[in-house]
Amino acid sequence: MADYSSAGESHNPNPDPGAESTTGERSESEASREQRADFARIFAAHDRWLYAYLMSLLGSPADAEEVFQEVCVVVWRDYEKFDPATNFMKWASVIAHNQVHRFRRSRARAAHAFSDVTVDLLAQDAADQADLLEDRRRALHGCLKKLRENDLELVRTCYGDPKRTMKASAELLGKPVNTVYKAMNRIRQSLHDCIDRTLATEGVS
Amino acid sequence: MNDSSKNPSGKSDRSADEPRQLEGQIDDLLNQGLDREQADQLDQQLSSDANARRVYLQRMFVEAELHAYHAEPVSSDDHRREAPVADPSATSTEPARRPLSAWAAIAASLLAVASLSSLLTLAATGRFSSHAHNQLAHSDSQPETPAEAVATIGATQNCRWKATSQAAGAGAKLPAGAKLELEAGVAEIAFADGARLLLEGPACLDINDGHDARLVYGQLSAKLPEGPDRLNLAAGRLAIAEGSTAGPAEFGLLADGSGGGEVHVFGGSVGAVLFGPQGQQLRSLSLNKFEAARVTQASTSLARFNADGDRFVRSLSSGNGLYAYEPFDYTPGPLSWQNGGFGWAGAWEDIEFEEPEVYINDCETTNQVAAGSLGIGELATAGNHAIQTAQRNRIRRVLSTSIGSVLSTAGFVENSDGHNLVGRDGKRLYVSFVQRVDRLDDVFYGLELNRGDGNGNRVLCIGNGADGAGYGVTSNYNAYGARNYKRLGEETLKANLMVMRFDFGVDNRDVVTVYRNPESLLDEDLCTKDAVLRGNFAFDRLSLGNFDGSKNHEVDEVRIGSSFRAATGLRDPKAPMIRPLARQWRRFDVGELRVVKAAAWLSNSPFGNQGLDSLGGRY
Repeated sequence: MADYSSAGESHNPNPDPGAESTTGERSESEASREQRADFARIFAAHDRWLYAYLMSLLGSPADAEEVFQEVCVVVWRDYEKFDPATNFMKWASVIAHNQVHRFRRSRARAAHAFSDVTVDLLAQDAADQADLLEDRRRALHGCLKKLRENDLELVRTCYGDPKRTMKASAELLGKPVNTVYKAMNRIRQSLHDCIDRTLATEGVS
Repeated sequence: MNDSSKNPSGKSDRSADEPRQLEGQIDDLLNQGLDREQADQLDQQLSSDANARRVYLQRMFVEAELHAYHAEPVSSDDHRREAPVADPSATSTEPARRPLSAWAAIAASLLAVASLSSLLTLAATGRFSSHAHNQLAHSDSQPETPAEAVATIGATQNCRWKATSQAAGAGAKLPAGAKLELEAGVAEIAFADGARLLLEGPACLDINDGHDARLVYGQLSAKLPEGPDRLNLAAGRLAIAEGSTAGPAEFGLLADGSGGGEVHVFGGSVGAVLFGPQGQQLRSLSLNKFEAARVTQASTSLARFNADGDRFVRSLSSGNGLYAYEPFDYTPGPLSWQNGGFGWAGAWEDIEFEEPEVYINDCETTNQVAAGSLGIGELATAGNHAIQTAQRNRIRRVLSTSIGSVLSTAGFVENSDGHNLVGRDGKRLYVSFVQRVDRLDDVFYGLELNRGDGNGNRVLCIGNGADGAGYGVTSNYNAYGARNYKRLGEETLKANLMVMRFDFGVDNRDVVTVYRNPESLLDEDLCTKDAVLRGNFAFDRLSLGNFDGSKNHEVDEVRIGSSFRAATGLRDPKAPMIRPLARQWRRFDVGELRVVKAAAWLSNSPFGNQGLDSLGGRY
């Protein structure tokens, strides 16, 4: 990544207690930094899965974004409890599931897309099908490249801002809302068809 | 809504239509077109049909990825996404996408004043002349052993002491003969008899003993308790005595350093006594509440006038709510080791800087002070501003968060793993600054808030390019992925006023709300929230960073306070409400929504449509 930590920090006038000792032994804080870095790599590989998991349970990209940050606070607070030899998605999904319920309790019942029962079932299935769902998510990128430019532009507009409604997107594009609805339904279907073909070719589905 | 449940013949084919109906419902959900009844149907199907859940999850995971992928792309080219933390080796195989003036703090006890009679007695016996009146008050002879404390620094607010001053941190014990030289800020001095003084810098106070102090120059406010043998207080050739009525008194005192002085009475009654050059009593006046008296350097009379209560700081918790301020009022040159403003634990310190291309003098750096302020709208500005002219630069300054510091006294400091951080649960804090660059999208720059040094401790950064997130707000410490970093709209070459509100929550559940060029400098409710981040945002220092590219990064008017107004610099509750807002939006390049909001507010203001007219009739 673009590491804008100062190169000069290696010459920091304030000695870093985490620096390697004169005996060459790795200090405890250095090990802790490495553990954090390892966790960061795992997290970076799965943060989108985590976001998708939240969106599935909440049914709203804006709500998913809000809860995602809450989940990250807990995940990073408890990262030392995660065993790298275990499944991150399952570990994180438990945290995310709890945060979803916490979020739902803070909101009016009428604002919920689904019942608690459905949310719990979806949470369980999403964790069980994590790998397959991850494959579909990844396959999407190749399929996006196959969209026509007009469709791609529509997708960019409709998905550019999670807080922008489909209606607002239609207004932005100067098109009737129903036209945009139908176009998006068509595009989604074509993307799913493409994903199915891609995974079938790879022998995944 | 979706009518795909019928086959081409128009007849319902339940078995064949169910998957399509489900997909249609999911599409409607994704299009925000699902009403409550349909949502309940979808919920029922999902709760009873595992296959429906499978289809739903497949669709939603793709949908989430479409949102994640298309939200504000950094570039049109796919590239490997940068990891969201301070580990350069952390990468992902994902395609890249964007990734703080009423009395409150003074304790109840009041400053003792010598009665007029006792004052004369003191003068006759020589005690007064040797202490309160004569310039001999401060003896050159210093005790050879630590003397018994006669007063205590009760609290400080944004204090900067002269190097020659008595050590005077909060809680410091002051011996007889102590000289306090305060360059800036306000210090509360408590005497054993209950007297409390608020010394306002720049000022110099000689504490001769536990019953006698002299304001050499500057000003102070005093609260004196009722009682015998009280504190003698003097300013120039003016001495304070008991007035027409006995009892506690509250007053302000000024000394010009040349023998002139003033006393302003806010409560009770005090006597003002004028002495001649040889220590002889020339005049005396009894002053009651709201009365004041003045003596000039060569005058032999006391002038009586109305007291000015607003001229004095009369409380440490004055309500202005500004706890730290950096106006960069330094001579143009290196910023490093500059130590002005208030609320800071020390000077600016270079963490890193590139050598300048051309040396103007030996101490030249590329983290500099440049002439003039980065003016913006109605924001009050002072001094000069900071500029980073090279591209491997970081300079930082640590906030004063130790016990007794104003931030600590105000309850903003929490101890986190042995570090004093600004961020106690349940507190709300505002940080504001002005920022400008001269090139767009030119790699990394930012004003950063940290909890200790190091990239991984950067809890917040406002600027461009951090983690590839473009122009916006990022957080290395929270590290929740570039996708969740918030954009702040279109980057411009104009100066931008940034106001950040920190709501520090329980269990490190903090929320930061960012306003870029807020529509109003007075009313936060009128301002559009440009970004909201959740995470752990407690911090103890601030730094300016500028890396790569070829831009200049400029920052000015850094304020940290407990209120929106403190952060925007407009803290006078009597300030006209209309002026900042109306002129604000005309000067700023703001969006239509903001203008409409401002116009709507104006139409509801006492100025009504006249206010709208003053906007030029455009709206």
